[in-house]
Amino acid sequence: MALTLSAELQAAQDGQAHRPICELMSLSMTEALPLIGQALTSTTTAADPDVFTHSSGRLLAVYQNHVALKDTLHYVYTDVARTEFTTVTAVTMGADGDTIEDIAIVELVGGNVGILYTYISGTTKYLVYEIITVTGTAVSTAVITSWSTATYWSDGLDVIRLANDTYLAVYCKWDGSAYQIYKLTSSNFTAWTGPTALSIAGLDAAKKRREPSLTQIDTGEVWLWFGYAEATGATGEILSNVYHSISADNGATWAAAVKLTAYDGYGAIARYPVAVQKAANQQHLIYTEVSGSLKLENDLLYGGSIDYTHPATQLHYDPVSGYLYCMVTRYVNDALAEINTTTWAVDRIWKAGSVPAWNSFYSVWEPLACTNALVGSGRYRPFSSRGALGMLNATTNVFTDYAFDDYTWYDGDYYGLSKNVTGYSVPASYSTTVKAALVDETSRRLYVFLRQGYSILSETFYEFGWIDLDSAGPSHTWNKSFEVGSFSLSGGSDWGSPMYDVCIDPDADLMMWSSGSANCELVVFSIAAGARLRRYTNSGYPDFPYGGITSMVHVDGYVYFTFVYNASYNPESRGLGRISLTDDTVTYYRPTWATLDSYGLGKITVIDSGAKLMIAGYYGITIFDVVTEQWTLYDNAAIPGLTGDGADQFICAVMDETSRMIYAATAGEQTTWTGLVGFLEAGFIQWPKYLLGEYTTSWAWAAALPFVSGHTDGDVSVCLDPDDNSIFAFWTHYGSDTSDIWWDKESAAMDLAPLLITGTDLVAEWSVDDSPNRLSFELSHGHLFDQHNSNSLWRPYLAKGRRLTLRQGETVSAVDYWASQGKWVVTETALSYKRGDYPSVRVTALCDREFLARHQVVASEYLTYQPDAAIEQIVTGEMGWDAGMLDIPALAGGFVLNTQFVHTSVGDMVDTIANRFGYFAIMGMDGKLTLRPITVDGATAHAYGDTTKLIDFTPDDTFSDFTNQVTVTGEEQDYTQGILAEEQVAERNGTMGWWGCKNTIRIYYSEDQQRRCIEPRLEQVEIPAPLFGLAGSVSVSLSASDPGYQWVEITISAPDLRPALAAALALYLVGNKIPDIAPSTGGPTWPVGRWAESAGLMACMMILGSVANWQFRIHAAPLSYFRRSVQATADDLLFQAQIGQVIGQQIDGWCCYSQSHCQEVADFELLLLQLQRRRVRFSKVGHLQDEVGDTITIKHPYTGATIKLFVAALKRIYRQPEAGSTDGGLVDSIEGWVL
Amino acid sequence: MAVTRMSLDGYTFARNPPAAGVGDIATKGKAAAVVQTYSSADVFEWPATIVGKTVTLSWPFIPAGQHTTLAGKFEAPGSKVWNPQDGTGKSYNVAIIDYPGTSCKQYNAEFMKDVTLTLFILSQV
Repeated sequence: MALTLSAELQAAQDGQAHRPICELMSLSMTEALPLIGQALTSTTTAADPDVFTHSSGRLLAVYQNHVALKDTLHYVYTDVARTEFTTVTAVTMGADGDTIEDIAIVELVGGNVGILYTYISGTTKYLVYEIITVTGTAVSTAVITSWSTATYWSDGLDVIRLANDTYLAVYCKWDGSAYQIYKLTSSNFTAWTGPTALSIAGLDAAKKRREPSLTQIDTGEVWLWFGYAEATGATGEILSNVYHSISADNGATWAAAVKLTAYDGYGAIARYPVAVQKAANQQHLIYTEVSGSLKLENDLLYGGSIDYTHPATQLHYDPVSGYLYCMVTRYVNDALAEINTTTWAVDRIWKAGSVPAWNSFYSVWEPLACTNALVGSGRYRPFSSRGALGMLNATTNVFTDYAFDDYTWYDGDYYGLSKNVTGYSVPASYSTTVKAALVDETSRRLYVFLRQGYSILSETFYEFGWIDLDSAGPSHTWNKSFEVGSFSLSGGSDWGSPMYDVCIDPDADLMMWSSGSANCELVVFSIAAGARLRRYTNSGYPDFPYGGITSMVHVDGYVYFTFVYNASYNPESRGLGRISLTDDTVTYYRPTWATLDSYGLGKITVIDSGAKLMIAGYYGITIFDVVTEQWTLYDNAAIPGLTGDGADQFICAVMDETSRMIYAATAGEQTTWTGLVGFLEAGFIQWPKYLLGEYTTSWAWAAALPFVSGHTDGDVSVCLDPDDNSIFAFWTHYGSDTSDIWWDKESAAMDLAPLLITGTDLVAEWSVDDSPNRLSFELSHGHLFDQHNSNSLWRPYLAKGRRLTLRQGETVSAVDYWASQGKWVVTETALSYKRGDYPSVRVTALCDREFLARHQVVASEYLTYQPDAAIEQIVTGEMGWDAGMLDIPALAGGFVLNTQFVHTSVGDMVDTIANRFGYFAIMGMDGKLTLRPITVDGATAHAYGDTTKLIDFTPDDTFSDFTNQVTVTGEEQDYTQGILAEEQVAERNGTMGWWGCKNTIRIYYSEDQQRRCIEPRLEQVEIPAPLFGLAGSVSVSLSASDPGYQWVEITISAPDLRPALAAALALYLVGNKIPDIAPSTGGPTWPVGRWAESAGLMACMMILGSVANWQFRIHAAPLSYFRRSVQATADDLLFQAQIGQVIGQQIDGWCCYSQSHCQEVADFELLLLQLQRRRVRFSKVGHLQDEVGDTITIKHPYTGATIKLFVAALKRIYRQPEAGSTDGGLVDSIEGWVL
Repeated sequence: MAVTRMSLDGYTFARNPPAAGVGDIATKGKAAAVVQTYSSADVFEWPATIVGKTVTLSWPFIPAGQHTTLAGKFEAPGSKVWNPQDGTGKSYNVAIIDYPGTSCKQYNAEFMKDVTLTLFILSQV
């Protein structure tokens, strides 16, 4: 779609004489504030910068360097264009041990630079002025005043040049009876009047003032800012807030002090205030918040009111993104929170009802996993309830459910959480509970430890295994490592004992768990072998803790553990324990910070690759150095205000090992405040913040916001860039035992166009071929863009990832008219130094599509959207782009997709969807991702009526071939049912006998009970022989079949002969008692009894011998379900006729669910083939209206005929000719398809 | 009427170049590009500027002292302020990019002959 230009620019572009203009802005990709910063120094001992902008335009700064013997004062200046820093040593202390305290800098009348500084030599503190030239040459110096440090406490120093060209300096000092702020005044910076104590109402003489700073705003008012110690604690801690006092008469008199910040405890205070005025009636006050800890109460983590009994648990920190994750949990999972540690604010909260929401099953049923045994990694966060494990991928903002049991319905409520872990099963009437899980991003596995029992409390079987983290679902394969019954471990009890902790260490191939109560044991398994390696109990190992292990970690063959102290069985076992997996010895390490029996140690976290262990517990967070065996305790005594209620009890902790910030969750019976705290391993948190003040009828100050993103940065000094009025800031950046000067610039922006080298090309390229837009150019001053030149102030402007925006236009009647040409990201810079060669820098930038192309996704969301909505879902969900960055139109021919992408980049997903519907995706000139159609029917956007703009014209079908037929195949979306030939689907056999039976057997057509068959038929392979007198009464019959075609029922029946047997036995017994009878005397006797006995015996034998085998087979016709193939063909009949051959191409169509879908794709692919055969290349005078994807017309240079073409690729070349040349201008080089 | 001499980086020339030896500083340079098309031509013009212009100052000879000073200016890197004293009141930040000449001695006097000082104008002060 062609750009719409202003009428003036349109007319200028259409004309013959042009006055081109170009703007190439370098901008930050992130918000203007907070600043991030880069190092000015790398001394590790530099601190306390002061900075200002000289009237010449130079940026000037001073800082001190605390070296071992003699402190030095360094002066930093730039050139007038502020491109490069130069540092000189302005002052070096004269004697070993002399230390510089405070420094202030000011421009003097005439252009020289005045420096005031204090230093201590022995027990005397000296206040000195030093005058130097703007390039650092010493002019003069002298001591102004001095005092004894043994008698007089003092702090801070600042000086300004007032509008009347006199100088006003201030510092704070104890005068022997009161704390004061003193002033000194001078008209020439060499002769000083004072010091004179300022009279400021509203301050207590017994309370310290610190860190004074001065500004004179445009009204002429002089503002004095200072930290005021409102209270002092028992151990010397100070509650400090920022105050100010205003003088309307150049410092002669001062108004009453006004409090600006409102810190009310020793846990966090305000120090080092400085202010800068960017505009009339507006000031920025910057100060450093010094605190023992950062805090987030559980209300904020939950996203609503919730009481303190719902602690944060399951902490994990992602060092890449800087996000911290935790669960808010009481009896159920209340919420999952993501905390941005840079801003120390909750970024997102997930729970039932959030968007997206997790299944409410997780919010209704208690987790039952071991506390803190669900271990996340990166941006994966697992959580559980019963036998279901949920997983958040915070990058894609998608939940995945792993259900080990079926929770479609549970306890009468519907959750729709059906069992989807295949290959896992539990015995009937058993239930599953997730006890632990660990995300291992290295092996891409989700390890899960499960307990199977009759009830949720029983401990009967354990099973351990893993699921592929990249399993796309909806079903997930379970890979079992081992299964074991607790009775086989615990000596017979199948009820087991409560499980205390689980430790999974894939790198060491170890999995272990500990249990307590009746059977306290530690069991160690090999993950790969699934074999038990060790089992420790107190009875087998007397030093093993009798009460069991409560938390454990594995480090280099040792298991470090915390445990329940037992005075009866292990009275000398205190603190932290260690078991050697090599020789099974048990060692204990007792904390040195207290003498106790039970140290209340809980969850252990490994830090520094096992060199240290961090343990959360009853008395605080303690760190144990494994090498030196040193203990450090962090509690409210060591860090005032560490927790919200002064209680020291913690449940878990993690560390950002780069910044050495410790994040810990409070919980336990001590606490009445639960939430997260963040504190430094060493020192206090120093976090620069700012207040924006605006004057209407009085000054009103907004809430404090972060000024610098780091938490180890303080003592900020600021000044303004005279060109764009943005803030330059210099500050002290602290390491664990180091400090350096860092600097940054607010909204740092620079127009690079004036640095474009004449005679070189600025080339912007766009194409429909799914490649990112490309921008390349060459700049002068390459040394200043060298990323290794730390002296350069321009270095950030071409840092990798920097945003570039390009505008081009023309000047018409002295007015500039612009057209946006898009946004890019700096991708590559290259320059070289060589004697005699000018160091220009060559820059390549790509549009934001490069981010899409580089971002690989393992499995996308299952997409059931229209194509435009699917693209929006992918880009916003996977990339986190705002909807405002997209301009996706509804696609012609679009329908609801039913698909999922796996192992694909976001860029490929977008292109696949766009191309399917005949569109191409591109970052438009407005910087938004959009789709445009590849069509032969587009309206002409720009008609060139003659050849006056045409430079050259080249028909070029290089990329075409002879393909003249395209066949696209696809599959229907719905399944079609088919009947296969009858086959045997089951076989059974058995035995029946005189005892009788009538059994009905349900036989499924497959073991997984999923197969469907029709027309079942019974084949009796072995028919039971008719039993004695029972012929015809034995049967095997097909009695029922599943209306859902998954099973049949076979009924086997035989008569019960037990009554007959009893009768026969009775006959036998009775016959045995009947004597022979003689019907006639002397005649034969009749053995009636024996006859009866024999008959009874014969009958018994016959009945008891009535046992027979049966065997039958089931035959049935299986039902099959398949998707029918569909296909369509597009023919270029004309070309086929021309070459007399059909050259075909087969394509597997993506999302081609019908013949018409296939036809659409075949037609589109054939169109592309035809268009490539009609490809031309031409150049014309550049016109800012034209875009890739436009349909334009030009005149054939020879025939004059009108050619309508589609712009498939556009290269726009801008060149300002070098001296003596006329080779330049704005030229469009186009690849087009003639329509 | 006293001769007003040019100055360079705080040094006032002992001897100005003769009028014919001063390059053009009256006119600004202008970048212009011409694009020849199939049946016409377009022209692109950028604003005229003195920046980037090269000015040569030529002397048939200069005293040894002036040569020593100018050689020092030439060897020192960085921009210098040049006041051509051309009556416009304008001064320029310049870079000295060339300074050839031939050393001579005549009548026991040392001087340089055929001296050319090439100045590259960076900006107008």
